[in-house]
Amino acid sequence: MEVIKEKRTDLTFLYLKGRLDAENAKSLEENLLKLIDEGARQMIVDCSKIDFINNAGLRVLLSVAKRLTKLDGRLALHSPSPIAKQIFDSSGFGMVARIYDTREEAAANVAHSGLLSSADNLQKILKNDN
Amino acid sequence: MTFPNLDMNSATRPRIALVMGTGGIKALAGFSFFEFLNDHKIPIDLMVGCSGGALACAALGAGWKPDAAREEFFKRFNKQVFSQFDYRSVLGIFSSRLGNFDKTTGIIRPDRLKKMFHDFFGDLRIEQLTPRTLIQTTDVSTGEGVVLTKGLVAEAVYASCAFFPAFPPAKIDGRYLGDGIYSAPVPVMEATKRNIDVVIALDFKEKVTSEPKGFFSAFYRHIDNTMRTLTRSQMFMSIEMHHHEIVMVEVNFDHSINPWDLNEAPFIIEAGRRAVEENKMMILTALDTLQKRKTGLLQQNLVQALDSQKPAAPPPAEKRGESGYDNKPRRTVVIPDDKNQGR
Repeated sequence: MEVIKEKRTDLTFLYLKGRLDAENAKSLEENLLKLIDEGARQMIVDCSKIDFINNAGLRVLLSVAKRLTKLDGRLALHSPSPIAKQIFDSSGFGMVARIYDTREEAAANVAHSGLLSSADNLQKILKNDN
Repeated sequence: MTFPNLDMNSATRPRIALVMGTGGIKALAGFSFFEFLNDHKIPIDLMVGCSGGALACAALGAGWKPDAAREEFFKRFNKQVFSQFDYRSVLGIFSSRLGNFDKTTGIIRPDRLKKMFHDFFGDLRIEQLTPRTLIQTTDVSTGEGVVLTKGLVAEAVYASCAFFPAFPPAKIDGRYLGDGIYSAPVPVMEATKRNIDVVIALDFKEKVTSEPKGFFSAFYRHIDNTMRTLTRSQMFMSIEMHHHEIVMVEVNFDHSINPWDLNEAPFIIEAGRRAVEENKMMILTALDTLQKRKTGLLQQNLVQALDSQKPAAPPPAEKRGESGYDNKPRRTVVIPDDKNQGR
């Protein structure tokens, strides 16, 4: 599994690529928890390149989401690949996690939750994408 | 596509459960998974079934070959089993003066269905099924899930299939037990409680887009939708609880299939085979991962056990005299690598 990190002001964007299963779940969890220890609070995760995710992978996302919530942060997932979407749905994960169709929607929802310093901040972040 | 090289005779082989959810005769598609595991010599340690899935699990547990059981069921299930109305109960729905309807009654008389199960299973008991098989039912008085682990198979399977209010529940050990669909449509939680490493959970789904027509169709669609939410909640809880692998498999049907639709037999078999094709790598990879993890744990425990037999750490040099050596023998630990372990 490949993880690409990108920090933009208050938001940390992550791109997960490949299989997320028992073989790499632990190292992904360590990586994400390290980011939280370093101060990341709003994580926006692109799931469009996930080839496969099983319950070990779901547990990592859940554990990270719980840790962030305790610290007044938030985990938002977006653009799930068809396989990820199917697994989020059939596992019931979609009932407890926030899963958005696009990166913009995910970022906007995090912004409107009042967790970012201001809505202007969001515009700047998204403008930087272009 | 290459299959992981699994050694199912090794001490570190994962313990496997096959869970078959509700789905009427659609659940017979689950036989394909049993055949697939058998073909790969992968032993099943536990089966848990609900409703149609309970019937399929019990048939396999009773020793029926999938092909023979499939043929037998498709022969026996016919519209007559479902067409003997209990008119007293039906009238009781409209008025208590005309008839009687309560938690012990149903719209259809259960005699033919019960006889069919009795003819099929005889006096076989759940305790005699191999692999160990559990049957999910619901206590209609309380709504609680009741998992039957002993008693007559025919009675338990009837209870698990007794879809209230179509069929009356069965009275077992003083409780009225009906269709497991109302408490655990895909009883995955029962498997996670029982020290299982890999749970293969089969969810038989009708992905129908047309609007339901008629009372029964609309009612069943409502139950089906509610059941989906219940399944998702329980699946999620199982993922939280269970620290090993749960392989969730959807066996999809693009149209509605009634229990008496015998002409759908080839389609049901095909749906099962297609689901196996789509999910076999996921299943084998999960087994492989678990076996590797268990092998690793075994090695770790071995090292710890050997370490605990080692003499205590030597005291500091100044307390051991001038030479600094205690002259005691050293133990060498050799850890076999993954590839050689158990092969």
